[in-house]
Amino acid sequence: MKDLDATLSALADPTRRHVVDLLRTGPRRAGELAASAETSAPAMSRHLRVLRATGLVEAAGVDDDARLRVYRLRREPFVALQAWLDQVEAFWGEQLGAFKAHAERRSTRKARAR
Amino acid sequence: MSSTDSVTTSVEVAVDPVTAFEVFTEEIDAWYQRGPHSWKNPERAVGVRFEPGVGGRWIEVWDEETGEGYDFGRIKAWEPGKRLLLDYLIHDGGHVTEVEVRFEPTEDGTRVVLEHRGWDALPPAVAAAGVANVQKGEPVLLGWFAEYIEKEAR
Repeated sequence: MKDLDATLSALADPTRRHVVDLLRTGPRRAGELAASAETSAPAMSRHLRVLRATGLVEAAGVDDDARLRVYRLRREPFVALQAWLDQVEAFWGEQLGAFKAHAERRSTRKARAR
Repeated sequence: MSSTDSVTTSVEVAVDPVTAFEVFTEEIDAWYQRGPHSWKNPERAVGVRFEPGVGGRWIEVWDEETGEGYDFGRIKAWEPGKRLLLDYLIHDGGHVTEVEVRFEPTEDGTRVVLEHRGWDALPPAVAAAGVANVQKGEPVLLGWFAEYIEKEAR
């Protein structure tokens, strides 16, 4: 994501969040997105322009005919999710390591006390 | 993005499964690492604990006497020596992931397997909202996400 503020403000709008959530299930035409979000075609077109500007969404298909164009999520911003999960894994790995050290220290103490 | 739905990590520990479960739950305050992302409120946190049994809270304790604190999650299964299942709150919006800790007997002790899953059910907008919360100074797990995004943004 090249511009965090732009991305966050793009997603601050409930209609645009709805579009992003819908596109997770697959590409859609602008008309389908407008119908699902219960908004007018011109309004949806404005929302899509904002989402494309942030790089969250891209258009594919016949560029000079808006009706045939499909919109889809770009992969790159969501690669960040994988990186986040790698960090989650590292977090739990560190916690389990600390757990192991504590558990084994404690059982050694108990064995000595016996 | 099915590959992003769960995170699994494990460790082998030289104590039996019943002891491992006991140490994991009763003594969490003694082993839990105090990193920058471990706390909801680092200034108020005095400890961390599980309230034993199904329905009990996994809590960041702010006040030992009143029991006031922040709920990391809630216990859904409490099977001493075997398994612990927790709801794990991602942020205050009520979006929940799930943490399962299994205690599997091995020849020399126990393999503790921790799986944190349900990430795919988290809408991207929630992840982004989490980043915004982090910027307001409310880090939980999403702190990492924010750091990564900020690094990328530079």
